[in-house]
Amino acid sequence: MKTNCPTPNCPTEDILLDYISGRLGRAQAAQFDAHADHCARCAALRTSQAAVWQSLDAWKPAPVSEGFNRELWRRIDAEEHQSSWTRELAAALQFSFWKRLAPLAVAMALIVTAFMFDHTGKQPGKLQPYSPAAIVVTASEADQLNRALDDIQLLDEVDATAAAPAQPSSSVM
Amino acid sequence: MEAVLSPDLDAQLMLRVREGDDESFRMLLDKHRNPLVHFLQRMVQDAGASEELAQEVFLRIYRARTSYEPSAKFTTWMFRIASHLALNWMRDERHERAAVRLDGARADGSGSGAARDDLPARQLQDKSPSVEHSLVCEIRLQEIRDSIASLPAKQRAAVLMHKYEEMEYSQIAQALECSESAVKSLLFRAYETLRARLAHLATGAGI
Repeated sequence: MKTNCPTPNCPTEDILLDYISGRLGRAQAAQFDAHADHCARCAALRTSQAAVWQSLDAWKPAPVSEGFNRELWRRIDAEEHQSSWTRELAAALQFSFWKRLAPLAVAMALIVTAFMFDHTGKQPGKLQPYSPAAIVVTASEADQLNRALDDIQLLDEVDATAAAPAQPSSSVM
Repeated sequence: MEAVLSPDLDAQLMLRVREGDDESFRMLLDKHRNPLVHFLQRMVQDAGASEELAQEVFLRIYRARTSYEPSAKFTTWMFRIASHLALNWMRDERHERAAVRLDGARADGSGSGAARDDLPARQLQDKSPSVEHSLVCEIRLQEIRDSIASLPAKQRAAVLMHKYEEMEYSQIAQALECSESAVKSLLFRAYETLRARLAHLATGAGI
């Protein structure tokens, strides 16, 4: 990048920066000095850039806190500790783990399905829905009960007849 | 990222860290802690925040150890992380305002926090016997800090890496994720601003 120097063959800005920061080779630095001695613009640039450089040199940073390393290691340890159990969890959730359990899971699923089919509609303790068929079943049960009671009564009468003394045949009518 | 042809001792240490050698990380930490914290101090101009950010940089380096490949110079990689974090921090308007407030507090010596309290005290450490001279020094330093703070974030980062870390243009370019010519342009504009603001300090030698 060229400086805004009016003189021909003026050095570029990065040469100026390298000159000021001491990165320019001795020969190039001498060349720049020779040029600046005859170019007011470059001389001014050299002076003002040197002032900037000196000013920045004067800016000393604050010392780093004594506990910096300790705090960093504490954070690293905390992260390591946390990541150790997350690693274990991740390992437990790995696909290979589930792959080994897959046959067992399939077998269990089949057993449960078969059980469900086998017991469909035969759930003890569960109330049956209201339907006319339920009434029919109840009525037939009552008839059966009535018939059984009639049969018992008939048997009782037969027994009583058998136990009683013989009557003249005329009384049987 | 360009390949590193010369042997980078830091990269070799980092490769050992990758193998689980924490002692090598300790060595890297001891070697680069101060330059990194100082870079961040000048960048964000908040001593507390700069140490927080530096810790985050080292944490990220440690976290990345298992996948580390020495494709660039270690310091370039480190300053890349640091610049990224600092630029993000500065982008946050809330932090920007806080930094300005803290700067004001620092100027009148009312900054809070141990490290922050150290800053003006240390910067005023001068052999001069006169209180007046110390005050002049502090005013000039404040002017320098303000001049740097007035630069756009990327220009600021480029100047700090160029001036204090003595990084090559190519390294700065990698750290700031831009081209070398863009770095030169950033530096050109930044130094132009600084020359305009700080040239008058040329006569005031002995800051």
